Amino acid sequence: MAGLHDAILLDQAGREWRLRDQRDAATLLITFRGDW
Amino acid sequence: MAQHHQAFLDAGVRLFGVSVDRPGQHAAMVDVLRLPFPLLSDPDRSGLIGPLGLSNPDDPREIAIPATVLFTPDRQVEAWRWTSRDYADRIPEPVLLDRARDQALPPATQPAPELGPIEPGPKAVSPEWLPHYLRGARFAALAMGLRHRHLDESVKEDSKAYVAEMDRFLEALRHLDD
Repeated sequence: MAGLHDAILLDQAGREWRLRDQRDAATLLITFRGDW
Repeated sequence: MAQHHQAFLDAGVRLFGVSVDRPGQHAAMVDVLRLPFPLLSDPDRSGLIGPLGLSNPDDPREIAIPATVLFTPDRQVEAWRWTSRDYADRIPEPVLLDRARDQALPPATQPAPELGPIEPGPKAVSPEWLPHYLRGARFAALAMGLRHRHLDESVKEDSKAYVAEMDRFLEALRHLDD
């Protein structure tokens, strides 16, 4: 079982997100191929 | 997923998309598809895509394998995942919602995503062409299923599933104007 680790990723506005800090709700991560 | 966003929040689940694309490409996607949740960039796949084992070794750019992964609020446990065979092989939202509701969580909120500079990549499909693109994919899947139906029953079933997925995408596009 994998966890969300400590990665910090940028969203579409350049805002930093560390999903591991979002502890008040579950997270549904949707990976997609991109190339948009 | 966008259409069911509120239902996921009611089940205590926030949505995040992740791909190797740059923030400007994601801004274009959020804008065109009016997505109500953020898209995160993992360009070198070291943040989430790789650690989750979702880097596609068969792709020259090792882009992400399409998947849906549910994490419990403590962020330590992956509760469930669906790994797709390709971008059209997505789990139906009602099934996913049942999985989310199994967690029995209090409702959550998620603010609308802000947009940065919109910088679509060279392969981006423009909004006006998106329905035609999906109809073309639908037609091709239907034709291939008919052409190869004598080979194996699974070919016909795959074709039907692909056509149904394109219909779902087209239906979601129609709701963009609601």
